[in-house]
Parts: sequence; structure tokens; C-alpha cells
Amino acid sequence: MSMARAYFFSVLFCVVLPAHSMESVNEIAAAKAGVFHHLDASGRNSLAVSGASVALVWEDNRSGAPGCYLALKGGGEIGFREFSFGQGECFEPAIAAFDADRFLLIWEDAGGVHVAIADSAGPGLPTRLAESGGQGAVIRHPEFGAHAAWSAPDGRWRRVFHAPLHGEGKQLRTGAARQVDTTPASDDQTFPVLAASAPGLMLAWEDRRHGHTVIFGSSSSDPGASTWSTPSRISGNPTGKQAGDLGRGTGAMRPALAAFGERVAAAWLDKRDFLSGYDVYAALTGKDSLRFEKDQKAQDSFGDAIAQWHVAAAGNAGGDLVIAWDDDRDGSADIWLTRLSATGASQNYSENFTLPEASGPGAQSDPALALDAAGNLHLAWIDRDAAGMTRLRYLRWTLPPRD
Amino acid sequence: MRALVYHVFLLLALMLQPLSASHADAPPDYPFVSHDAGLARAKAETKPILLYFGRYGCAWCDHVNRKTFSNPGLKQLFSDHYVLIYVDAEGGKRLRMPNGERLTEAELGTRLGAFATPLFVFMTPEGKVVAKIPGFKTVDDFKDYDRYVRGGHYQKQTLLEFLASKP
Repeated sequence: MSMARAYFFSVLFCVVLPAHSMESVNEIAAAKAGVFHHLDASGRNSLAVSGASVALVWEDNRSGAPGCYLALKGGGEIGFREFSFGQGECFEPAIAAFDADRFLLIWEDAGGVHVAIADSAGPGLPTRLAESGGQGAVIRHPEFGAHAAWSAPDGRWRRVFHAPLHGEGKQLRTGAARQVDTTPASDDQTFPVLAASAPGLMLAWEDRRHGHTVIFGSSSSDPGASTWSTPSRISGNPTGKQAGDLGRGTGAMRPALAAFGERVAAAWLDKRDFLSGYDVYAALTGKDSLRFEKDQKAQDSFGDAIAQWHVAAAGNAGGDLVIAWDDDRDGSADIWLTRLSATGASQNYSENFTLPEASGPGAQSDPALALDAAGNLHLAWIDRDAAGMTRLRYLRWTLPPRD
Repeated sequence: MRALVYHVFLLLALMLQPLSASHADAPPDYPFVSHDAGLARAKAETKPILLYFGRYGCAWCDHVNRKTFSNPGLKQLFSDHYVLIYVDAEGGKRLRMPNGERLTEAELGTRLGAFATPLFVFMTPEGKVVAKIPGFKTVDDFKDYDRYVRGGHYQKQTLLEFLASKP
């Protein structure tokens, strides 16, 4: 980020937004030579808020092999407490709020795909969902209950699976695991992500049935999610050959979902403008609907000439929606954010902005987001110094009133 | 002895591991292998690496495959003198970097700053990047890159300097 821009936003936050404070930044995992931290949950769901507690999950190799870790901060606690989980090599842990100050975890490890409940004492006993697979996602809604989705090999292709979850004390019991798309597979389905709002559950994933990567979605409005709608396309990246009978279509990847108010937002990386890297696109469901409206570019024009990476989204019951990603438009990777305006119209994303603690020297990347009911944005990210050493950082920022 | 046999077996298994057909848009009939197998083979055979970073369904990858990689001389050159690795730009398969870090294929694209596909990455046998070249390129372009890499010019010149000094 340029000095001028940093100064501008510092002044903006100090003068214009004095009531919207930034909590001191926490270092969740410190830099150490040879240790690589990864925030790479499917849908970038590595951070969650439950009651007064905040929790982050990640993978790093401090033990000599990839392992999964949970950092948890209860209400009133200043720092995070850390726990490890998973058996053998552990990858792509994801998290969601479960009930008061408890969380749902999902991860891939040497034994397959597992889920567990975590509370202030750390993760409980794991429950196995599948013998193989990964890229897991979890969600819980007061009416529709708790659910897991993951991607696993099924013959030649990877498919998206779903299972309902039921808490029994501190352990989870799983219902029947089913393929979400009942039509015969013709290519891979990967990186599923879940969201839940008043009309029902939404599931999105990467789908290659058209010979290139497209974001597909399906919804369910029955409490056990035993049936899912016929999958339909969310991203508008065009399918078809280019002049000269070339290719099959541009790419769209790594969907993120967030419920906000009674709606759901999907955001992803989209290469329909294929010469300048991925752009951030988003689509919103209509009010009280599980159908996505036409997608729109969510970043502003200053990011058009460069690539965006690692898109994440978060919403809350009050209707706030924030989308974040990283790009290096100011010379090095910074965390960039945009916010849906009060009108909620798809075109009304704010000018992109950074937060001083998550931008500037070094590389700040891989955002994970959550929004609590009070309108606080919780943000975790990877901070990488010039020598390539990484650490995990976290901040809480109170959103200013919407335009 | 058992450990030695195990490691030899593991190396052979890696070297013989074919590129997954379901994810590939690599040029047909070239001996492309997966990332980790390719790094191991390059080190063992002391050969430079050409990493083809392609996207599933990518039009310009299709174009360069048809127009350039269809050349028999180029196929011979790359098959004989390079270890060829294909990486799916949007893939979720995990790769092991030379420094030990485990990354997905798509995350490797972030690290390489891959804003467009195809992206051709030339590397030393130890996996050090010496040139990154995006987009459609001709047979002659690739012959120049080969001279730059196997001639060791990357040790003294950038690729642009080398190409500018070409007679």
C-alpha cells in the first residue's frame, strides 16, 4: 500500500470514524523459520464467532508434517488459547458457529474426513464422515440444524457429498451421507461451501461439467436437507469455444458463501477477463429466496488490471455483508475489502478499502472473515515478511454505519 | 538395506506416476508428469524443468498446444532434454515445494503471480525458477528459451537481456 494511501485511510479512520474502533491486533501464530501457515478452508471458512467467543483454525507444519490447529478466545479473554487436532497429516480445517460459545470443526486427515465440536476446553472427540476426501465445510442454523459438505472421489470424478449432523453432548452423530447432485457425474465437483438463511440451506461448489470451471449451487429448504434442488449455475463466466474453435470457457473458482439478513451472497474468483488474472465477482439471492440474481463484479476498477486472490465473505443477521480478498494494486499484497450498501442492490458495493493493520509493508494475504451480530468485523490473515516467514494475525473492527 | 529398497521403490513409483487424465489440458503425446514426480525426476536426472501452468478449458492453452507443441522437433527437444510438469491452475491437488511447503496447485499460481494461462515456468533441476513466460509462444520462441536455459545464460542475464542480445 502506498504511503499516500495509508495516510489517507489513517486520517479517514481517525477523523471520520472515531467511534468505530479497532481492537489491538493479536498474533495468533508466530513466525518461525521453516514453518508455513495456511488458512485454506473451503470457502475460506477458517474463522467463526459463536456467542462471545472467536475461533480460528489453520494448518501448519511446526511438527514436521502438516497439522491442524484451533485458536480460541472466549468473551473477556485477551489472548487466544491454542489446541491441536487431527490424526497424522491434517489439511484444510474449516469452522462454523454451533451454539453458544461452541463451534463445529471439519478437516481432512490420515483417517479421512472428520467433524467435531469445540468448546472452551478445545475440540471434542472426532466423528468420521468419510474414509477419503476433503475440502470440507460446516454450517448450523437454528431451524435447519447442523450440516457438513465435502468433496470426495467417487469413481473417476470427485463429487460433493452432504450429511446432517446432530450434537450429542460434546460429540457429533452424522446422518446419511448423500451426493448432492443425483445426476451421473461427467467431471469433477470440488470445494463445496455451505450457508444457511431463513429460506433454507445453500450449497455452492466448483463444477467442471461444461469442460471448464463454473460455480454451481443447490439449495434445500427441508429441515434435514434430505433433498436438494437441481444444481444450477451461479457464476456467469461464459461457456463455449473462442474464435478458432479454441478452449471451452473461462474459469471461476473457490466460491465463498455468506448469509446476511435473510439472503445469501456467493463470491468467487472469476477469469472472464482472462488477461488480468482473476477478478472478484459476487451474486446475491433475492429477499426470502434461494435463487441467485445475476452476478456482478464486486471489486472496484482500481483492481481490474491485476489479479485478485483468496476471496472470502461474511454477513450477519442485521444484513451487513463484507467481501475480502488480497491483491497487490499498491505494490505488495494487502487485504482489500468491500461492503454492500444499505440498499442491498448488487451494483452497490463500496469503493475498496484496506485496514491499516492488514496492509502496508510485507505481504498480507489469505483473509478469513466473520461478522458478529453487533456489527464487528473479525479478520484473520497471513502476514508474510520479506524473508518469506509467515505468521497469523487477527483484528476486530467495528463497522461504521452503512451508506 | 530395507530403507534403501523402500526409497528406491518410492522414487520409481513417483517417476512412473502418470499425469491425471481427468485434469489435464497438457499437449497430447508429451511425457508430462505430476509436479512432485517431476521435481524428483529432475533432481535424479539433473535435467531442467519446464512447468506448464494451464487452466482447464483455457483457449490460449489450446492454441499453443495446436500451433506450437504440435511441432515434432519441439516435442523431441523437450522430451529429450527436460522434465515436463503440468499443473492445473485451478486444481486442488497438493504439491510439495522444494522447501518442503505443501501447497495446492491453485496456490502455486498465486505464488508464481500467474495472471494468465498458459504460463511456462523454466526451472533448474533443483526447482529454482529461472524464467516465467505467459501466453501464446511460437516454436522459435521456445527454441530461444531452451538456449537461455540449457546454455546457462540465466546465470548472467535476464531472459529479456538474453533475447535482446540475440544476433
